[in-house]
Amino acid sequence: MVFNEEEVKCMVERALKDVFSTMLSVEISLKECITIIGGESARSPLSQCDGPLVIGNVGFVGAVSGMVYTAMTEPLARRIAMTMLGMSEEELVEEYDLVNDVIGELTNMSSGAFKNQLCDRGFQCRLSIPSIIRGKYLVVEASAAEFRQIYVFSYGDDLLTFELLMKNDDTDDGHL
Amino acid sequence: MKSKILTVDDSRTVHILVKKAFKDCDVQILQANNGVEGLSVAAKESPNVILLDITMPVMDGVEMLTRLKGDPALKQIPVIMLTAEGGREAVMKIAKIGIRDYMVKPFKDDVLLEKVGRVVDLNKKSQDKTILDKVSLLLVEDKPAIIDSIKTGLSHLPWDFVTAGSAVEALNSYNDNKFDLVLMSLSLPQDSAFELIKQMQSVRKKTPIVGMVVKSDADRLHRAVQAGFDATITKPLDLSELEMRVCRAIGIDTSPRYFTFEKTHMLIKLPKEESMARIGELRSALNAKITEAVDAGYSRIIIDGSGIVELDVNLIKLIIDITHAAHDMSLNCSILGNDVMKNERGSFEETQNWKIFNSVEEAVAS
Repeated sequence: MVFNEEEVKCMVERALKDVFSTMLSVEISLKECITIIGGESARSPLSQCDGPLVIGNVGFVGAVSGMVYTAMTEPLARRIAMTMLGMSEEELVEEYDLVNDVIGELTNMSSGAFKNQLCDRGFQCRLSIPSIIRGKYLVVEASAAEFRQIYVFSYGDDLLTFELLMKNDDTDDGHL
Repeated sequence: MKSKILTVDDSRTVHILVKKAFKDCDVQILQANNGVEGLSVAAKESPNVILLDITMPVMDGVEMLTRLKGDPALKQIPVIMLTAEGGREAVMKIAKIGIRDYMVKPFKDDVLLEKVGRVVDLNKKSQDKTILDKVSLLLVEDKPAIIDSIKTGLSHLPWDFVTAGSAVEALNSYNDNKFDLVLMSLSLPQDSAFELIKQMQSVRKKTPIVGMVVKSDADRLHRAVQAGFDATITKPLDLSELEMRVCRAIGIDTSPRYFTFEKTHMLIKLPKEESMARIGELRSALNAKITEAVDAGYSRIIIDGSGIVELDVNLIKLIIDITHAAHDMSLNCSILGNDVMKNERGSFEETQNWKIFNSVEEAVAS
């Protein structure tokens, strides 16, 4: 992998802090960085939490390809949606899809803010359309990933994770 | 004429955020979910500016931009990219096709306003009145008992009511005075309310008109929507709801009754009544006020529950949400309460550990 862990950690931290402070006026802080070695499967550190998780997923493809999964508990996803859209809990009661959409957009912005730093270092890549998964135990098996880390951020008393899987594409010349 | 802003994005969140950003501007926001829809709306509506995302299903933003610039009828419409794609090479490639500006998500409202404001006239709406300001209302109602109940029920507000018992009297008054709002019964004799609204709108179109209709009168309720009433409220009247509808229709900022900035803290006064309308009103201003407090350098908020008459589940949820919002912004948060709060907090698991102070001084010193 062309980037070392420390370099990627700094890029991820910068990206997420920027997105959360700009869109939600909230300062988040990086608590932990978990490295997943080889093709082993890893359960989200949030799977111990009660209730289902809301997981946003965005891919990027190009000179460096990868996947991003942002995960959080459902109550936190709802609070984030309320804060970001300036809506009350009552207004969001029937808006299951809107909470998903907010987390999808937040994942899109976070992945974009990270991958734009890759582009600026000469590794051109494009984002995919975000998708959302809801469930308690998400286990990702990624045998092809050369780099895989889970970053745990604190958001007030809650936690959210940003899982990053990446690999270089030797056949891509780095241009869009 | 209002400027038209077309936002093309597959995310409903972005549509809501854009609409919110321009809420104080007299502009029309148009929406499309992908490039195909974007081209179609652009051709039909001729927007003054397009805010365009890149990654979308069906047709992406680059293709839409290319087609737009290749169409002689549409190529003059300025385009501002609003996208998470922000690598230098991608920006250069898109700039060559022809754009006015490029914004990378995440974005702040003020930056969006500033960039769009360079391209179109945003006609910022005049600043709204607050709940503490005088408001002049024309109350058109032929039932004296209802007039009395409205005037008495809203007497805590600095609102002036001019009353009219008939359509003729109302129109004369409307012609001679400028009101902030007209509150009109839809059951005036000879069904005259619907003719009256037409005549009033031909005199001044901008004055909001709220209709009052009996709950079971579905026919009049439906006709009121068609006739152009800005809002309707059902009889028997819920005066809190009436107050909220009037505030919304005029654009009155109700937050000063809940939020005050003191020397050492921001005070959040909880509503006395457990009305959902009041709680909703407070909630809708909460995030903006907390941001304002942080911006102004405050480090403490005090939730004032000294006037509440019952600690119910909605109030508890509200207090919990306020404390979370304060915590997210690293603000200290204390609760000021009366005997009702102190006695009732033990009844709920969520509230039994709340520390409730007797006075602002005690709370500030904590």
